[in-house]
Amino acid sequence: MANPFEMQESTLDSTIDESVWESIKRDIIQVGRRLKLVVLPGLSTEQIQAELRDWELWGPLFICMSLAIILSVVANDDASLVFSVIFVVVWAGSAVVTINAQLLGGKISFFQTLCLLGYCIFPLLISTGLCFLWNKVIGGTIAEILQFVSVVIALSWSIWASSSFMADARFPDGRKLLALYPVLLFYLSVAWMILIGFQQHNRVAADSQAPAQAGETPADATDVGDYDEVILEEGDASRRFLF
Amino acid sequence: MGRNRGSEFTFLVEEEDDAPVTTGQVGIQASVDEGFQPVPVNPTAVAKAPVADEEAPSTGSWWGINSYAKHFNVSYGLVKDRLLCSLLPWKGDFISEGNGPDLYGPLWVAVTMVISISITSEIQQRILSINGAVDTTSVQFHHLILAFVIVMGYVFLGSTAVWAIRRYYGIGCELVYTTCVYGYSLMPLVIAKFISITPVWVFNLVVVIVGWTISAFFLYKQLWQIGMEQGQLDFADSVSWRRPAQLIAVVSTLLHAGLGAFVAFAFR
Repeated sequence: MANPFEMQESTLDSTIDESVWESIKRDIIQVGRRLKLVVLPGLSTEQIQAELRDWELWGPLFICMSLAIILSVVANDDASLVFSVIFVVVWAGSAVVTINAQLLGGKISFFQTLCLLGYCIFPLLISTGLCFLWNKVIGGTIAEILQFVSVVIALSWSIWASSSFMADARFPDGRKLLALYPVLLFYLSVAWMILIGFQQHNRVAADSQAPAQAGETPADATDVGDYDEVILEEGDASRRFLF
Repeated sequence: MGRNRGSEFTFLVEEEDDAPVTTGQVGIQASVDEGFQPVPVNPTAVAKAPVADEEAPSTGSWWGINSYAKHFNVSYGLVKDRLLCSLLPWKGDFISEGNGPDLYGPLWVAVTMVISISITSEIQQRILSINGAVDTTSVQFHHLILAFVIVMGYVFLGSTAVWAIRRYYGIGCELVYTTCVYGYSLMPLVIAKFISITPVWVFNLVVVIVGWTISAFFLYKQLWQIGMEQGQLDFADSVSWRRPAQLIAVVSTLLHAGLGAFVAFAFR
């Protein structure tokens, strides 16, 4: 019979001696596998639960960081505010939704649910990438319509992926909907932040220049020749938040 | 903080009272609205500590989850009834027999209000603006943060302030009940906000005013009228009641009016 201590040592050796690339590759493969399992249809709740039993937060962190970075890059000004708001909403929102489900009597694990909610933001991350692409390639009203449609589809996908898991969490009678509504609100708020993150138009520029430059589209304001006006108007716009 | 059982005006009971008391122990009429009842509905009977797998108990006990679980002891039907009562406050009982106030409603109605303010003000801008221009991303994010701070502050801090003032003058109910009432009172304003995204600003204003009036009446009924009907708030004989009552009424009306103005005019 094998000596358990020898077995333990050999297991430890196998990961300590491997290269950094091997360790990272293993984690990347695990994150990729979980993304596929959680977000694509075909697995039952029990299978997902078994898969996420040894939960990790690398995947959700990667997704949240990517989302926050893309949206802060796209933001014209105050990128750090956008980044921090996304971060706080994703993590604090997931935590509040999970605690709410636990308080309602659901039999769920905190970090496992956090892991799952984080992975289910992945469709919204895909839609963010698509929005970024359409903004660059197409632009204008058509891009806005495409952004809206893709975010709505991604939102439905995220809600479907996470709610089928949450709904099976053995809640007491009459509380399943109470636990699912915050999940809906959570993904709706993330989707909403993606939509407002891709705002293209500057309201103050359009209002102040309306009589003289009625023929211009707002995109013209970003031409090099109008640089000073854009700076002034963006400053006014950001001061207007105190209405 | 001790109990004020002796005073004729006080019927506040500590929430951290250890002895479980059943409803009806204090001599109150059978038709009492339980939200205004001086004793908490038996907490030990209804509290259900959520039992999850091996991870949640250690997390839960550290965050004191169990102490909040009794305020989430609601079902979908109960929440729906309470929301309907806040929309039609002249009908029915807000806190029905056998149930206590909850914190689920205030929390999620407030979050819904924040998101609805953000979404409807954006839609309003798109409808009203001349050439399709709307606020920039950072302005929108500032609006979101401002709406969150104001609405959450009103529901949780404002209700605590009103509760504290009422308690100082020796009247009042449980803090959870006050927060519950304040939270559910946002529901008419949420609906009004969603309706008021037409291009006609007069219609929008009228809708928000109607919503605000319903909400204010709901607050008045739950925090004052029921107490007066049950004889627990007796203003008739005591002259000294006028000033505290007026002060409390003014403070809570101002707070509510401020919220209504914010909802009506935010971010246009």
